[in-house]
Amino acid sequence: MPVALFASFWLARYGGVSCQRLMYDYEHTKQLALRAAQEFDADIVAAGMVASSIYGPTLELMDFKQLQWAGHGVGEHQPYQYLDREYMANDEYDELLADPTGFYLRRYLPRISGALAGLSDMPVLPGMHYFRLVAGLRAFAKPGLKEALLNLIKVAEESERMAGHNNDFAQQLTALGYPRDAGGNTVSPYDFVADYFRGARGMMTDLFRKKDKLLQLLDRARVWLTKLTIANAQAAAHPIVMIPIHWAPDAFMSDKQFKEFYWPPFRQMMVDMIDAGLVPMPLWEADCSKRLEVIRDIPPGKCIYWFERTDMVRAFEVLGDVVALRGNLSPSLMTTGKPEEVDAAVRHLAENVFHKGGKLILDCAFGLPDETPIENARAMYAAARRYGS
Amino acid sequence: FKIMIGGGQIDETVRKYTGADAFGVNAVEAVSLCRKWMGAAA
Repeated sequence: MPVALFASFWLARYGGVSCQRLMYDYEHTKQLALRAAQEFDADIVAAGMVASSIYGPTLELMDFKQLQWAGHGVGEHQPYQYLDREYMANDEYDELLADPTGFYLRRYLPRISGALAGLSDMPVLPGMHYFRLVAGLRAFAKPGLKEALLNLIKVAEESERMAGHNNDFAQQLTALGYPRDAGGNTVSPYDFVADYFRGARGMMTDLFRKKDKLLQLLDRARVWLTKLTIANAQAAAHPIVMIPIHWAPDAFMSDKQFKEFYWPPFRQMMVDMIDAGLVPMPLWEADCSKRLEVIRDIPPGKCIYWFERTDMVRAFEVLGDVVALRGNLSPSLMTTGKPEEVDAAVRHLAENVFHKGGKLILDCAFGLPDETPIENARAMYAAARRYGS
Repeated sequence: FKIMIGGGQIDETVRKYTGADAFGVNAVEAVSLCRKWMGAAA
């Protein structure tokens, strides 16, 4: 039974450092991740252990608004805090649909980044021509806009530095013989709009009051996301793409809403990814038991469905002949249980899923929880070996 | 008095660990629990 190593801020606990250090000290975080990779000797290792952690300097240069992070809004020993807000108003659908790039530059980037606030002074270029265009470019001399553009270059250079470290880590993992679990990640069209544009409350009201515009945007977002995802996967030279799924759980929308808003654009996105040679790996967060029959409708043998809280035996019953599976030792078990209990939980999955023919990659529900005692992590990998063959 | 805890991440393991009397995973379950306890007390 293959087993994965995936963690985010747990690495800080493993290394005895603060979350803040994990986010800012590129070299040290890479070393920690390599040490963990070799100690636990998993079959696949998440390059995201480093990539999701080392955002500190870039976020800081951006004065990023969609998160709080260690030392910036939360304590130095705390993980990310996502801030659910409206970053797009309910009357901006037409603007975003008509001119997405203009919307990103003049509205969206200023809202999500304090350092780029001056981009809102960018001139409206379409329609400018000839002398009018030459004269119109004077707008770029506005002090606020000029400052924002200079900040943008600083952000880009730090982001480039970060990318260099991520590439270095990926290469070192490969040199040690560990395959990466994925080359990158993406989101579903619904989560894209709900999490990063309209916010939870905005999205829920749009389901009723902006239905047609929302469906239009979901389809356009699908096209943008699919294109970007395929390009990123090709650049990363790795077909597996992790897709954290946020709004699909049973508790968040009705079956009817799931079939109307969430599933069709996401299913089409996954089909297009598959046609491009990619392996979608959606991580169905929380409990998605009621979605299983619906999400079964996907080309067989092409996806890895990672489940967080959904009962894995049930998922295997419904989906075992269509998708590979990943997961799902519970966070409460990993953080508060004893090593013997972790061992028993691994055994349960091995006996009732893997050895019954389920193509299961053993992992925790969402990787090792931040507070997992090291002896529980050790018990997990030892049990994977013991019961996996 | 009794204590209930709740939210999407709560399960029986967390309930036992914290010593709470009951848990629910959403607001509707909280209301049902309240009714049950109040019904028992009345």
